[in-house]
Amino acid sequence: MLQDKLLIEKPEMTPFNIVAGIILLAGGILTIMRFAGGLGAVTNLDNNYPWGIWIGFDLLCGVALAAGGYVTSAACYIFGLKRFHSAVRPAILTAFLGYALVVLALHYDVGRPWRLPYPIFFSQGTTSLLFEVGLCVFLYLTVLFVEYSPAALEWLGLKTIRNLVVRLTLVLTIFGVILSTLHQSSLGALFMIAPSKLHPLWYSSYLPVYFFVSSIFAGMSMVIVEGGLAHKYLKEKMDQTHLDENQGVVLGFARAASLVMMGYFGIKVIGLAVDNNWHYLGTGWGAWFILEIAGFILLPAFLYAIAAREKNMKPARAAAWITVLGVVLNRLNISVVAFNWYLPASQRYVPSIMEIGTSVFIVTLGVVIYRFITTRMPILFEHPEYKTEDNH
Amino acid sequence: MEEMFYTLQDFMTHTKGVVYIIMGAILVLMPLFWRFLTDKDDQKPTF
Repeated sequence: MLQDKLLIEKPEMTPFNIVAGIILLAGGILTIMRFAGGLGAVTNLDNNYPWGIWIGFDLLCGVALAAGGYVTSAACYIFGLKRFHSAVRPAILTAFLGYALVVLALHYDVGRPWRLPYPIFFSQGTTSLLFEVGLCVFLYLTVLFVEYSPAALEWLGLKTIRNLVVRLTLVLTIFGVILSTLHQSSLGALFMIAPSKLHPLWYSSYLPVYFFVSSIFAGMSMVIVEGGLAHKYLKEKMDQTHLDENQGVVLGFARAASLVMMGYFGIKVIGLAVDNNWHYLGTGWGAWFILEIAGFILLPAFLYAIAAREKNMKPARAAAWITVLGVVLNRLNISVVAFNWYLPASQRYVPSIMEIGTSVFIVTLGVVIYRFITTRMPILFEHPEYKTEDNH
Repeated sequence: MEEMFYTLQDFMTHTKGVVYIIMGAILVLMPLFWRFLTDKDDQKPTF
């Protein structure tokens, strides 16, 4: 059975491989263009918009959607919900890849990659939120690497080191939750420096709270989405435990996400009330804001609730996709769409095709690496040699 | 039409008042929503 799971098929000219190959090739060319010609060669960024979709999508959405790692491991190891155990490894892997790609994407925006260690080791800007985010992402990426490593060590047959790392699970989980709380909220706090630039419907002194709370249901939704895709395309790599526990994971997360989303809706309304921003709801921006809240928060929250109540997976899967799209919309609204909202259309930022291409390249790279790892390492199944013990 | 506030005191009194009403509504609605989520469950702990 293990041989079946670990069987590596020779690369074939499947449509996925061909498309992924073309995207990776194009991404390689864009990478050379960006680092040889600078930001101006590939982006539409200017002094009004120093941050574009590489920050708005790759970084803000990447970090929010990678929150499944800390949410799932906290549910399993801190809250003791062991029925979510089979979801931990895929969630940790997704989070690890998500954060690694966030750091990769940051290089495209910041440039000069050889200076990456500087803010951490040489020139700490301790009064800066960006320093706090950088430090947390650096530490959390390390934590995620260690949390993910048992799968790689089992694959490599390094039992002694694997057993040593597994003993750190609880400490790493607690550390991961603390770090995630810090930097998820700090990413929202970054925009508090621009009260005059961000539209009042999105600007709030509660932005850090919004970013943190939304990361919880973003992470849970991403676990459901990723689980659904894995069931469709990598089912042969899953063991019976994984298949059996899937419904419990989806419905359990649906219930939790539903409750958290309703809470999020509540604090969004409170945010409106605190700043007395009701009158903006009657404008075009208000319609866009209401669409975000009603279509991508209330609707999926209700679908999740129906799924949890009726024990029906279909609404939960639909809600998960809507929620993921909603989180992407929210982050893009804050960082791009509602940013500099008062500028005339001619001065507004529209990402260049090459910026979008780079983001597509980075997402594709993540999917390819995810597939590479899950088809080789015990992520969607338990390694038989470690099955008898409390596997991590 | 946007309301006019002439002092910070007026503004805070108004917004705080609205927030208190919303909080009251949330305190009532959230347990009802929890009941909606769980009332079809078997009578056993979910952990």
